[in-house]
Amino acid sequence: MSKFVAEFELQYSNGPLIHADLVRPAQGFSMTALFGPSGCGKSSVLRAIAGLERPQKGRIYFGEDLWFHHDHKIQCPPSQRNVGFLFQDFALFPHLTIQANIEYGLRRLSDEKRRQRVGELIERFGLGGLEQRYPRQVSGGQQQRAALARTIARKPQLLLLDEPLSSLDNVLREQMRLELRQLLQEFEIPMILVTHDQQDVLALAERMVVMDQGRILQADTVADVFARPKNEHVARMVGIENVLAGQIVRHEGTTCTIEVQGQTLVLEGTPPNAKLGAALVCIPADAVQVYGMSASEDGSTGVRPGRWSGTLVGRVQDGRTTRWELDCGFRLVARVLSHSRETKELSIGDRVSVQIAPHAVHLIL
Amino acid sequence: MDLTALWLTLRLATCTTAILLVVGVPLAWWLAQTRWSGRVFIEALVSLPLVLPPTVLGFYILLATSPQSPLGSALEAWTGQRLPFTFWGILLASVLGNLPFAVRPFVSAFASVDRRLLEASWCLGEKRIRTFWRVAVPLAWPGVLTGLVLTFAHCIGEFGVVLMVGGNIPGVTRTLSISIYDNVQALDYVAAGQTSFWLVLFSFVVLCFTYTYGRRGGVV
Repeated sequence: MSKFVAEFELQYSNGPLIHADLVRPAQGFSMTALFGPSGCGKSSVLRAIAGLERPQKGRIYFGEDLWFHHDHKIQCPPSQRNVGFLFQDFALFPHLTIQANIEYGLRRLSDEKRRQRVGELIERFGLGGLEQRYPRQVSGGQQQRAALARTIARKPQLLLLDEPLSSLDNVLREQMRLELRQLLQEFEIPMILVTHDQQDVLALAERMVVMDQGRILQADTVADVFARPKNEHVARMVGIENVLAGQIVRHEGTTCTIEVQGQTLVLEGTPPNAKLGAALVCIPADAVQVYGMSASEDGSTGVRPGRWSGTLVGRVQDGRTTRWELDCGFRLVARVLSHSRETKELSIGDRVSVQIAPHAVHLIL
Repeated sequence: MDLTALWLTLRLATCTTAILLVVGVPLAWWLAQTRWSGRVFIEALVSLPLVLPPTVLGFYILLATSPQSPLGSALEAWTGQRLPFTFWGILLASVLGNLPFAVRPFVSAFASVDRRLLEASWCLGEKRIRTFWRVAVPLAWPGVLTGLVLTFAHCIGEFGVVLMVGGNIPGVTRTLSISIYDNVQALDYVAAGQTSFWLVLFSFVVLCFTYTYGRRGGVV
């Protein structure tokens, strides 16, 4: 099966050395996310794939087509790679109407074919009635769809999306997150998405490459990276709020006893990779369940196995969830539904009992 | 007003502007695009006529094109045309003297075209030259037009460099501003005043146009 391979090194003056190492199938729909904070080099990787930057080392090829090879001094210009590039701010031509923008790359098609293709795209992307408007006369969401239609019109063999949702306002972004994957899925080509937003990754991609300061920290399926980050850095980047240094002191069957800062946690359903010794315990905040302390459970000895006690020390409500900060002898962040029955009555200073959803815990050994 | 001088001046200005359009646009596009560090030397060279006394520029052109110089004799042998004190001579002088008035606005017009739009065009399968025509030129056009109008207007008033290279030959090298100088020398203040008045009015109208149009295009 033919492959798309991008393995190269790229460096700007005064910038970090950026490594890329990507192997994806060259056919069929797939969405790979390059994920990392701004300035980590992910956009440069995308630009190099498109031919807008020239790496200092390595090679890029797509199936049979060699796009870049440092040793053979091959750098195929962007116009000959047949790659679609969706720019962050869409880069619609301001002097052309929406229709002329979409037609831009179809110069070589006959008039009839061009009209037909543009007509289909305008309908597919919901741009009917806007053909004769200029980009500045349509909304941000319409601009994005026009830019996408313009890119797709040429039937590229690879689609590159640079922060496709970051220029949209909140409401629209939520909506496009739901629609974009569905919209793109029918074009059966590989796609690479650059984003700093984990929500985008979760909604759009099935594979991800985590990058920071030009280096690849982890590359795997999205589900795997989020559930089993390789190290603390990745765990923090994918939004795991609790990364606790601990010591696995006992490990029997599916029960594992871990000491964290003098407290003993008993985890049920321990990951199979657990072994005695030092470990980082990754607990997503939404895997922490908080209960009001019932009378029978009060006291340091009477806590049920798998639960332990703590004190609420902080609370921030954001949207439909509330972020609680707990002092259990160590700091623990919990995220609960703002209107959940268990926590609605609680206030700062209250004693609570805490339970961890066992399968959500990941140990970095 | 000296109508022969007016006709000559219009011819000179039109030819200069046309040549600078053809030569200046590619040069400006290259200057706006290149990352070559030696670019500054070319930019300084282009801008030199802005600060140099026209007499100095004219002096060197005269030297370079005189039949005694290698360049001048080669040109004469090749084309049978001698440059000093001819229309072709003052045209060359005028083109060189007006280089910054055309190229500088062109460069800033091209530099103001968002690079991302050029990249978008490349990624849509258009090569650099087509991208130039389909994206850069339409977007930079207001600035290019401003440069052309400024060049034309400046040409109309060209004096020093033309006088140095062309002298004062009626119908051949005597432009409007030289005819004013001539009138004043002959104490014909009425004729000088008339020509001067029309030149002031013309220049003012041109500048008004430049600011209106240039502002709309975001250049001035």
